[in-house]
Amino acid sequence: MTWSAWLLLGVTWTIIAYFTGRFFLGVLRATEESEGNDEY
Amino acid sequence: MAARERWGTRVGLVLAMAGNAVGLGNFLRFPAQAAQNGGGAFLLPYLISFVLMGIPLLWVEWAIGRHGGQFGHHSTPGMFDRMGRYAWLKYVGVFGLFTNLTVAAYYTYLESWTLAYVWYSLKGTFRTADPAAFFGSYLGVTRDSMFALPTVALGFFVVTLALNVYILSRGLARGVELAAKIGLPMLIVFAAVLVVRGLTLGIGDPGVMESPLTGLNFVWHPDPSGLLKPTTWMAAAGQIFFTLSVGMGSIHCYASYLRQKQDIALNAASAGWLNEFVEVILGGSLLIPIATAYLGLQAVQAATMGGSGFALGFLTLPTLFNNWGALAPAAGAMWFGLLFMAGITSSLAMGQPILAFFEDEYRMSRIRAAVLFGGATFALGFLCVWLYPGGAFDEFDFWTGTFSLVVFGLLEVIAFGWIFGMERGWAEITRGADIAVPRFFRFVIRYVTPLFILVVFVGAFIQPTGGHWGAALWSLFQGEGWPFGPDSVMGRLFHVGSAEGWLDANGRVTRTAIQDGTRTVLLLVFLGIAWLVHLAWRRKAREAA
Repeated sequence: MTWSAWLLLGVTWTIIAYFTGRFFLGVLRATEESEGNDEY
Repeated sequence: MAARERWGTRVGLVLAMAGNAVGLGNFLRFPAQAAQNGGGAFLLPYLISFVLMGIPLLWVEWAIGRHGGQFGHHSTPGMFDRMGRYAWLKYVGVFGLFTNLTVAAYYTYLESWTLAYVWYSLKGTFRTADPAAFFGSYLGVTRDSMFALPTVALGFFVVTLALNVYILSRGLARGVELAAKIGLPMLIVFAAVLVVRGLTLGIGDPGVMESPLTGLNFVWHPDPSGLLKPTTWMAAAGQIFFTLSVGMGSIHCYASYLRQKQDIALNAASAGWLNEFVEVILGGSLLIPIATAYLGLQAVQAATMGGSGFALGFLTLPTLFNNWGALAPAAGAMWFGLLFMAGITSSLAMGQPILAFFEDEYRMSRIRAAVLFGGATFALGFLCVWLYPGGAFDEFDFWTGTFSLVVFGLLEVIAFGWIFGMERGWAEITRGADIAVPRFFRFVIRYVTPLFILVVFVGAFIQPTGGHWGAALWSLFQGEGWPFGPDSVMGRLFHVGSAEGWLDANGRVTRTAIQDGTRTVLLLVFLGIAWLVHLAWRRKAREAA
């Protein structure tokens, strides 16, 4: 792997992992805040 | 009107939405598109398209869906009818039924191949069979014939369709949501296992001729000149469009089961980014690195030349897994199993809007509507099975799975920003939101996203031969006309590059005849759905009078 490929892979994976985690955890946290009531 | 259904849990809704988006393309199409369009340089336009077109479209579709659901409409004709005072708006919504039904027809057939391949992997068929020859015989393709009637493939198609109908008939929470809660985590685990095994293959391992990192480099090494090519930007925007399953009508349907003040901003962002995680991190690290390890980079470059990893995924990978010894059947089953999970969570999302239409507008029971969906999908899918060698499958894929999505995406974002209006639209997106939606998206949704889709649409319509836009413009200014590429909309429509008529010299039906016949069927299906919408609204008007 070239350094530029590693760099792009690292940056892109970080961005995607960060936002995926942040938003999915946000959904879980919002569910917890409604006292665990996940009823939709 | 049918009893109002609801999602069981919020996490279930997000997984169902993400499952709708995650499809076979995440694993087969994305890595090949990235590798063939500038490698790492593809990711910049890809992520820009995601932010300026993908995320806004997700919010628009969730908002249209939740808004329509408050009036008891869970399919797009009713939703669009409620967006403004124009009677024709409900006919824009016909796209949301047409696309789902017709894509389901060929997509369920494709999904059934993955189910069959799970079976054949477990049986150890690929230890001895040549996958390329096996694939042709499985589909019943014979030389010089435009028709096929493969009984085993037809059997797997019926089983897959029946499974879809059964899950749909169980209802939203007990059917679709449960399938997503099982299918998506399973898919992620299968993919993660294969990625780890694939990337840790070493030169000394049986059959390995090159490091898998060479394949990963092929996907990620940036070619900066790719950023200057219009084809790279169009490919990136197109990939975002198809991977998120926007322009289908299925996201609208799922969102319509939300209550008026339940969040859509965070849920949509979560589902969208989850799809990106599966596509870029898992999908980008699986197929091409494993194939490169065993075949070498040159062979992989050649196999992905057209921007699709389908040949590698179906024709090559089953044999390559043989190098994994006793694990080969399990590896094959995991690979095709994850593709099946990706497929079924998407095809269920195609069925639900059709059920909802008949439940809401024709007061049909859920089970009857599910059976009707199964029957209609089988009838259209049978065309794809029978006329596969003649190109019917490809015609379905192009006109319904590509063209129709972009048309509907363009129309809906214009209807949302300019007819429903950005004031109401913004209020709809932000009502009950669990995240702060940046205000600049108001501007993006009204101006940037429509423009983005318009460029993709026009580009696809007139794409020149070989994607050489500069040469095409030169040709136009020289008075030699615009060289429509055979894969552009115009090229397809007028069979550019083909001189054959409907019958060959021996009086036999040609591929051109089957292509035109398939298009006629699709047009009739569209008109038939529009007629059903017309009848439903006429009946409502009579009842209201």
